[in-house]
Amino acid sequence: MCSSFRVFRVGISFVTMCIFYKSAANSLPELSPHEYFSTLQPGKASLAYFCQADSPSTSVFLEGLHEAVRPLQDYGISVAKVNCIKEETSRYCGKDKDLMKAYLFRGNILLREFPTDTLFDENAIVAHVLFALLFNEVKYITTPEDLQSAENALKGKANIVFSYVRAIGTPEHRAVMEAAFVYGTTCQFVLTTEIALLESIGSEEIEYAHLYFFHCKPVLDLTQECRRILMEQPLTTLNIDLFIKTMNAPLLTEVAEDPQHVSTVHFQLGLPLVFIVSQQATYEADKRTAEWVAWRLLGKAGVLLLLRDSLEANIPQHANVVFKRAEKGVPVEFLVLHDVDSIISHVENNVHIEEKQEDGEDDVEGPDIDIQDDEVAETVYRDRKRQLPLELTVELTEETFNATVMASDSLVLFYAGWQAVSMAFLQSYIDVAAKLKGTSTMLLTRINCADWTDVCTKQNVTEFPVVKMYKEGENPVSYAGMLGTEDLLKFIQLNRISYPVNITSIQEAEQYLHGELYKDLLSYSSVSVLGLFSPTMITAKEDFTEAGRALKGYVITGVYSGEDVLILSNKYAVTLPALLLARHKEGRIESIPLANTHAHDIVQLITDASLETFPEITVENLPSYLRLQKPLLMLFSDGSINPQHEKAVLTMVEQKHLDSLTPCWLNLKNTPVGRGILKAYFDTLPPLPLLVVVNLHSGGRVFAFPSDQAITEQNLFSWLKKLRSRIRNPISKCLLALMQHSSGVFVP
Amino acid sequence: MWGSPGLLLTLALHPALAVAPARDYCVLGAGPAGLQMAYFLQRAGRDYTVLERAPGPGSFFARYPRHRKLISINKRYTGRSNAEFNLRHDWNSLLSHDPRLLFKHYSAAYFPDAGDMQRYLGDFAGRLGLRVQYNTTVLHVALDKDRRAWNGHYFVLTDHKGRVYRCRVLLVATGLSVPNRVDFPGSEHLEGYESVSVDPEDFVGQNVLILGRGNAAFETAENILGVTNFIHMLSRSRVRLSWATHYVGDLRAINNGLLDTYQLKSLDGLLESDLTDLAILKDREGKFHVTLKFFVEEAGTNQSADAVTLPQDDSDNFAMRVAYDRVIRCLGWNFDFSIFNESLRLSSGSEFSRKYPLIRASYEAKGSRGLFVLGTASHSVDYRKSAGGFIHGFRYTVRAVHRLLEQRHHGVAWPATQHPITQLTSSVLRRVNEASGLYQMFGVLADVILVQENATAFEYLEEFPTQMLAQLESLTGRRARHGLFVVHMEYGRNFSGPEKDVFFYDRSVGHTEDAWQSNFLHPVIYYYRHLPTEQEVRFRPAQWPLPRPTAIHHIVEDFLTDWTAPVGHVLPLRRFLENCLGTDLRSFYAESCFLFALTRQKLPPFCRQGYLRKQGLASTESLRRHGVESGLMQDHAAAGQHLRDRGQQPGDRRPLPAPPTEV
Repeated sequence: MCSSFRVFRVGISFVTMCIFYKSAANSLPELSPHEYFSTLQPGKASLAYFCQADSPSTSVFLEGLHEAVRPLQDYGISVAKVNCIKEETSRYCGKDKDLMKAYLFRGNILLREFPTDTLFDENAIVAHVLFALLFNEVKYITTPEDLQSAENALKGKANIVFSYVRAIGTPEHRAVMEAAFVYGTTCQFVLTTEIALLESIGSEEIEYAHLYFFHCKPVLDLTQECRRILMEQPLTTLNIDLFIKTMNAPLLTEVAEDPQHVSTVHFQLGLPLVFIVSQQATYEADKRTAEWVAWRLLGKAGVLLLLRDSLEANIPQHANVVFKRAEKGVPVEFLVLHDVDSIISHVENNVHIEEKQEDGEDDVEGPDIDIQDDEVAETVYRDRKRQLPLELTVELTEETFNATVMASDSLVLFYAGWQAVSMAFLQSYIDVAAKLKGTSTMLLTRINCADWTDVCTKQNVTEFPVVKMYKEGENPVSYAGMLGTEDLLKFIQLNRISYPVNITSIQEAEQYLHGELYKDLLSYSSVSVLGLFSPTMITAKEDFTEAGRALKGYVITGVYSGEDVLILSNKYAVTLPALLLARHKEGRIESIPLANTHAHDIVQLITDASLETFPEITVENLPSYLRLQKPLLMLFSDGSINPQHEKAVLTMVEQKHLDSLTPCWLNLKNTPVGRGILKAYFDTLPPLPLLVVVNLHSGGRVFAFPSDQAITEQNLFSWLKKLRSRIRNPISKCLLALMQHSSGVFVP
Repeated sequence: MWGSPGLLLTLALHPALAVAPARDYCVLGAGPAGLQMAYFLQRAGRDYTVLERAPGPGSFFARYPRHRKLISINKRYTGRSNAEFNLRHDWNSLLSHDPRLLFKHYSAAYFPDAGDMQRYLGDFAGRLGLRVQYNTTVLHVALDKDRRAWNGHYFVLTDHKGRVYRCRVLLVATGLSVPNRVDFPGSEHLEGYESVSVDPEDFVGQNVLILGRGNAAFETAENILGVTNFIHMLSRSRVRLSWATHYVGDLRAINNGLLDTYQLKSLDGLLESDLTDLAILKDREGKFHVTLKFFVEEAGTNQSADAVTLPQDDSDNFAMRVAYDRVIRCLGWNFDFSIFNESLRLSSGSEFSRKYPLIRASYEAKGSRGLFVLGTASHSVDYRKSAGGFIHGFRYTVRAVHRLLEQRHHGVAWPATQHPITQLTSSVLRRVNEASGLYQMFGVLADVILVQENATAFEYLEEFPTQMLAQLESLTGRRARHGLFVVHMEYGRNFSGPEKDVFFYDRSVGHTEDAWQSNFLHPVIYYYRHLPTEQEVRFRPAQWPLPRPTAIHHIVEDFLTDWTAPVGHVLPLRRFLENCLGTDLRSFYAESCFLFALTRQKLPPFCRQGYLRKQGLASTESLRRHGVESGLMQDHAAAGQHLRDRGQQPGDRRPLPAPPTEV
């Protein structure tokens, strides 16, 4: 056993003795050579840096030396800076300014000289100096054979502390040397910087410094190997000290007292204790088991044999192992474990909590890099083996492209086979083709730009996916709607007629407005728009025509400018030029005057006008309503809306109480993702129906209508009134905060 | 003879100058580079003329290579229909919009005949109606200073008939036309590659010494390998195999038969020595002996073969102690500097590129503004690195020069496409998977992505000369104020070299984490928060094609050069781009965007630029199912079912957050 404390104490007392010539512990004495040599004491080590008197007073080396004064003094080594002055020449004073060296003396005997660049910092200085002083205690080796012979030489005599450090002068090297200073007399230290040597004893991660304890002392048979225990903690002075102490502690201790009060060196060193409960009858077998466990847990826990028979304290009858955690004050655990491995794993699972957490973090980072988090890419990839009925569409090539799109009205999907969004949309596109099969005059085609890049570039397609419609005599039109079956289908259907439709008579206009003219298209366009112009209003009509073309495929538009147009303008009480807007579902026709309105504004006008007053919000139409930039008053309903609720809201709308809001409702049956929204607001799904105000545009707050109140006009009115006063005029910041906490949910 | 022609001619021709109308662009030479430039000028509707001394285009190919086999690959099949991709493996075609003008229609041979190249170039000039003035030998080029001219001067060209051409921009595409000679005692006995017989019959039973170690030397050896006693090949440097250096100008495997016979002990052999130390002596029988210049000088005036010391006299096992029947010089070519007046300051490059005129990375001469060097003569920019000295490389650098000129003189900004940021990953992927300019001119030309403010959009510029990155704004007329990506292709940093083992075990990298160690040509993306300065470009780390970037990403090398694997290639690229820009570049289905729109303040760009503009991406039943299985998407319908069931149980209703009325 190494009796370390003694040595250590000697070291310390040595230190206190020898700080005699300086007042401040950290200061670096500056001496002349004469002064220096006169202070040297026999047997005492000192490090001196000889430099020219006129050399700069600061350098990286000197900074390191200053730092190293204190730690070296702890080991009884004095440090000095010796200024070589002209009057006193010393052979240690080099000739060249740049070639000054540091010298290590014991007494006045020179032990080593160091070029200053090897002493690059505090760690390097301490490591090098101790390395030189502990020449016998620390054996430096380079080959596996060296290690083997050292091992053989010490079998039965002493234990070995073997360490690998990446380089001499590193912090790890210093830690090993400091340990050697303390334990060097009782254990043999062996050091290497050769990776190959470490590899030869089977270490895997050679990036880091390693330290092994070789239990050679108990080995009496030369053919037997010393048992090697790897220190798992990083190489720091403290860790090495603890590690060696536990290695030197007795393997197995027998106790006969309450585990709660037992303390061994392991426990003092912060390791848990494992008690193997034994009784007289099975003593020998238990002892063997305990020794085996102790070997396995060497350095991880202390193992004791607890004799139940001579014990006064109460141990549960069935328990065969007692586990005492390293943390003070935690009650001991009584365990029933049936084999050695489960004892080991119990200890390992409960000891290195800190390490476990570090590992856990690594694990989180590790796989992250190749786990797909793009839902489109992932779903398309998972679906890659499914055969799509691609034959429903015509595949175009460089050779066939022009001929095909010129020969018939065609829709072309430009996509890239490697791009997930393209491939996701291709599925919807094929669906459209399946739905239109045999009914449409429009030819559905596709071209893979990964194969025909030049064709795509020529068609001005540089991003994917893009859908273009090619019609004879017209410029190709890019589809700008949602990339899905429904919207594309609608676009194709509405494109069956030309825009705007030229209405030729009053009678036809009435048919148009009442939905009799394009009956089969009505389901695709919520409104039909009719522009009314007198024959002389050429510019206004042109603007409208342009707007109609822009809305082509999205809204049905028609134009009438017959001589008798006044009949219509009178009937719908509007001055020309004007728009008539037929809402077929509601059976209403609205009129909107158009005065000096440009095409762009007409498009906007029509787009806005085709919005509903109390729409059912869907995934498809939400963007249209968000454009209004108003808070949403949204009724979540599980199924159709309650007619009374609908009536309450519509009445409020008519009374203009909801002008600052966008009233709408959401049917969870049609739009199941609404549940996700509710969960995001309330964590759990609240009872339905539920009315909320979602204020996305300022602050992102959500307010829920009190669940104990009925959704009536009056309740709604008073709730909104309170809400509004708070949204608009926050009384105080404090109140706002309160609101946020109690009733509002912040949208992150 | 042209001692000081500049002065003479300028004086003599001055009256003619006044009448000669100025052209915007003059192209010297109707070889591949000259015609390529003519094509771009023609398409842009510019005022240009090509001056060619021969009666037809590509006259070089009428005689060279002497043994008629081009070593540029004519790969007609790739299994792909992508025209741009196929140009990666077509080393002979020039760029044009006409698919008939692809070289594959002119030859079926993998290594085609030089005659086919000449025919091809003839068609290229003819079909495209390029304006070439043949039979016009420009003898002299001088400068005429004029402040009103585009570049502060006109280039004044004089041809063999004394006709004068005034040009605002001069594009020199004359190639390397002067055989490289080494001067040593006895060099007059050498036969040159340009005139040596190509008939193997002439070499039967002969000992042949070839000077040089390039493709011409090996091509010459290959032709006579079967009939000679032996061939010795002598040059200063070790042999550089193109498959080890990844440089197409080094020795190609198709020519390397002599290496095989040398290493298989068949009398042929390679030797290394500095040619300038040599001397060749001719003995009475007309045979040649190799000795040292030093011995010849020692011998003084008596320079007969018997009188001069031979190396074997001292060292009796001297390798070249046999007498040779022929000594052939195959030492390459130099640029013809002779027609350029000194005022153009068209000097030659440094040691490594002495045979080339000194130019910038923009291909503009260092000495005079407005003079650009194109084609083979411009190879100093990427000598021994990339393909700029060969058709499959300079067709792209010529296009780059044309784009620079369009911006400089016509205010036409470098072509760029604008895209929303959601297209960033796709744009990069598209190019790295098909772009031929990046692939052929790896390390020289790069795509540049200019990020717009707030990283919501970007501009994509193709094939910009990387070395000019600092001057990007002035050269392209585009703004790079909010960061940029440079998309580039590279071999592994320590993979190429004459002494490298390119077949070492474990040479291929498959794991994404090791992508930076990729050896084979692979895309590398550099991100700069700010446009690098000229200083940064000039003093970049050694071996780096570009200055140290803010961030860098290697797309792992791919055996098929198909970088579209969703997890292996696309995902790491997307993450890199996201990290650089601090944005989310994932794509989402409309349903997810819908959820985000109602529960988040800030939406991912894909939702903002797609869904919110009513262009969301709908999912299909099958995709949705996969999404739920993968855990990336929620099954809200099923969740609802579940909760409803629970909701029926009494006491399970949790109280709602308190309504505002209770505040």
